[in-house]
Amino acid sequence: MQDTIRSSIKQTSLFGSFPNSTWKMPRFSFLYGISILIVLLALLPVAFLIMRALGAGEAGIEYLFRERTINIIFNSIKLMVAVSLSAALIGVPFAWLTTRTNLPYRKVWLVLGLLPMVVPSYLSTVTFIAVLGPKGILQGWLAPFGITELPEIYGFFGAWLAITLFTYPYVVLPVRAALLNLDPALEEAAHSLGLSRWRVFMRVTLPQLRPAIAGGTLLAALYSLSDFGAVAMMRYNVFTRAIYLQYTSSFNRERAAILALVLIALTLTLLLLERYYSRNTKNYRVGVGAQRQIKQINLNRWRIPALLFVATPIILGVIIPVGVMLWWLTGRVMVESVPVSMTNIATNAVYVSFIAALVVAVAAMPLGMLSARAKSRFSRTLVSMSYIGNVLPGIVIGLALVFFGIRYLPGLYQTMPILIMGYGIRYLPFSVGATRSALTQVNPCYEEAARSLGMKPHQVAWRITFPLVRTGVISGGVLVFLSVMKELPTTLILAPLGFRTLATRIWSVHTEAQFVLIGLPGLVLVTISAVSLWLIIGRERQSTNAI
Amino acid sequence: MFYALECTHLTKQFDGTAAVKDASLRIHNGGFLTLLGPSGCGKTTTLRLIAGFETPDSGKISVHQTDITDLPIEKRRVGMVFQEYALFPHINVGENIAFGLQGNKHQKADQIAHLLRLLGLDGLTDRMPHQLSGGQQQRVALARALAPQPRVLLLDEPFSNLDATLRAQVRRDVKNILKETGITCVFVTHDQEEALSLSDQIAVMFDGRVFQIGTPHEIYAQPINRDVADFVGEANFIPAEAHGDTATSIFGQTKLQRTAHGQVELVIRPEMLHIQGGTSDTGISASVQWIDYYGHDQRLGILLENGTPLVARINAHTFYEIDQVVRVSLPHAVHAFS
Repeated sequence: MQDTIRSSIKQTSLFGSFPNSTWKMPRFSFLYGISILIVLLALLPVAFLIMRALGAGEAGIEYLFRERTINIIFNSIKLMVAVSLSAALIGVPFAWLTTRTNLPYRKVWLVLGLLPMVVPSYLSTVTFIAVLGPKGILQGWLAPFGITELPEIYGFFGAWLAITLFTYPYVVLPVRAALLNLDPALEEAAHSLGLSRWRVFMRVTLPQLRPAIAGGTLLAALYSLSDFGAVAMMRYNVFTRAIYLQYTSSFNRERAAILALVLIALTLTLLLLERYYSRNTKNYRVGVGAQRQIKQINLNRWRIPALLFVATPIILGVIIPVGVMLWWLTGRVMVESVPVSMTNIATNAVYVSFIAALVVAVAAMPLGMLSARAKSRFSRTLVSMSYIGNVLPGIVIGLALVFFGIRYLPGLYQTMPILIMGYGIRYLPFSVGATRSALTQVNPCYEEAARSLGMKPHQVAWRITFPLVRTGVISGGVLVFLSVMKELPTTLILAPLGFRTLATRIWSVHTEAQFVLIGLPGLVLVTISAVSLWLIIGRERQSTNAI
Repeated sequence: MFYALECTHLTKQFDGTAAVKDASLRIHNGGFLTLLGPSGCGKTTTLRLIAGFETPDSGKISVHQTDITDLPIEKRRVGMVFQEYALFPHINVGENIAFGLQGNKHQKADQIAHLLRLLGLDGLTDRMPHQLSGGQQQRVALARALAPQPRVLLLDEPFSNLDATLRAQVRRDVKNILKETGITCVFVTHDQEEALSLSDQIAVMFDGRVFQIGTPHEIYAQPINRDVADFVGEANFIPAEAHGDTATSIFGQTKLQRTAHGQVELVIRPEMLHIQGGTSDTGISASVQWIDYYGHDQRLGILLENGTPLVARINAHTFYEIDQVVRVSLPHAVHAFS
């Protein structure tokens, strides 16, 4: 699961859609050979992890039914349900208010409302702790009034708040798209049949939005399961945190593997559900042809409450985190010079991200080609299997590589190559997607023309295909680069001793309770996420235009 | 003269449905063969089989008496002009044309200059493809395909993306250029007018099969069956009893172009019907049902007394009215098939 907006916002790209090209790729066997190798490399660690967990036998089953384990499962499901509900309860009205009503500056609100997904959950969590936590900023302000204790932020409440703010935009996006696609004639017909506005919404509008709501909510649920930063910092004991604790403190890796297995099972179940609903979305499209302008609903006296409603998640999800970080930055770091270690960390992060992006871009090439040009069921399966990094939580992938590395690559444990491999598995889908969408925009007849002018297949690749896909492939690489920069759980588990990135720096600063040092790396990370999001949206737009 | 291209018994299936069924074609060196048929008839697949973009399930393709069925695309020396032109968007006109050329810079420059002149593209060498008009792109595509001097040139509906007003002119220019180079061409179109005016030979395809091969005149005047007659121009069909070089039908005794016997159908092109005012004593009686006036000529829908509807094409200066009674006759020998 990615920390940024996942490419599955456009449902088609999660598992890829496959244009029907009658064009056959030359030297397919070679391409298949390499692709199979890459997919195996991506799948093996997780497969090994599952084997180990299953191999635990009776002791494993006994552990699974311990009270602590049951508690973890219960906590995870509780958080997931709560986050899904609140994401839907914020996302649906938000989409409706910014799409169908005369809310002032609704386009601006919409863009601002999507911004919380740009703030990595561990960052917003740190700022919430700083503001609402014990001895926090808010308490400092309230102290003169004699208020010395605030409600507990650690635990369920804090985790729920942070993840909800991070995920509700995933409901807003599909619901808004569905609202724009609605045929206004249906609502007018219902009105003319004597239904009140409220009943029209409940009986005509809402049923048509159901698949979009379900899809977006399931996405939020998936995030709540896979998130590490927020739950770990809020000390709420769910799968990801428990796995990390088992791995780091007790060194009982078998147990970590068992927890990971249950988490994988839960994630895959949700994913299947999401696919099921997103498949239905297509059937619900109505009025594809030229449509009339959808009538705006006049909010009248509900204007102020509506404005408050859309402003609240924006204040909590963007303005507080960014504001607090800015305050830290100007308040302290301006007087103290930037610590030397910071530049070190930044160089580290840039260096490792660059290598990871390069490796991923190269590894994604053959898969992207298969995905864009081959239409067999086998190639489709192969490509969707390479999307494992998009599906499983980062902590699981990190753990899988630890197991796999210790058993099969002992010399590489806690070295750069294993870390790069972890990033590779996680972000391969980004590059495969970018390569695929770049290739689908290259009309196969260019390649045919080059062949008929006497070029051999590899000459065609070099002189025609590669120059045409270069921009797309590079933008995929940049996306990987930016994602690695802000990656937390995989880095925590796999990084060599003493190796720090911006994200792990924030993590360790949090544990040292030195919040003010977060200002600079935090703002850098927010900028990085914003650029990633912008890149993804740009790519989606490009590929939809091409179709 | 020898055959520059021979396809024998080509068959190609996609996912179990046959796109091309047992198609055989051959063209003399320097000839211009058109594959004509409705969309989905397999004409483009046939072209792609010849180019090597698809591999036939069975059958053989020879160019200049050499079997090329298993040769890779780049070794076939078969050029192609694509419907969308497929000009490489990242390189300029000169580089596009030079793409398939061998030799040193100097030789290439000479050849490019020659092709630019031949196609009337002087001065456009440094333009990028997107800076060209549709007609210019079309000629660059042609120049690029001609540059490596292929033995056979394939053209996949190259005129379909041009404005109707441009099309006739471009068509004539292209035909002259191709005649000048003396190259053997296979052309694909669904436009019968284009096929009739450009080709030496036309192969009419339906449903993956080649129904008839012949000169444009043969295809138009002597279609072998109803499908061909219907697709290439407009036709009326009248049942008749043939006995040798005449046939008896509702029009009485009619001369046949070729001898036939037994139950046949007469193929009567609209312009073959002769219409006169009701007072004439030749022909049979009919009434005018509808009139489509085109300026240069007009079409009349007429209904024979036995209820058969016919279409006639007549000159533009004789006027009839709806429901007017006219007399229809068949003054010339007609074509019949059984």
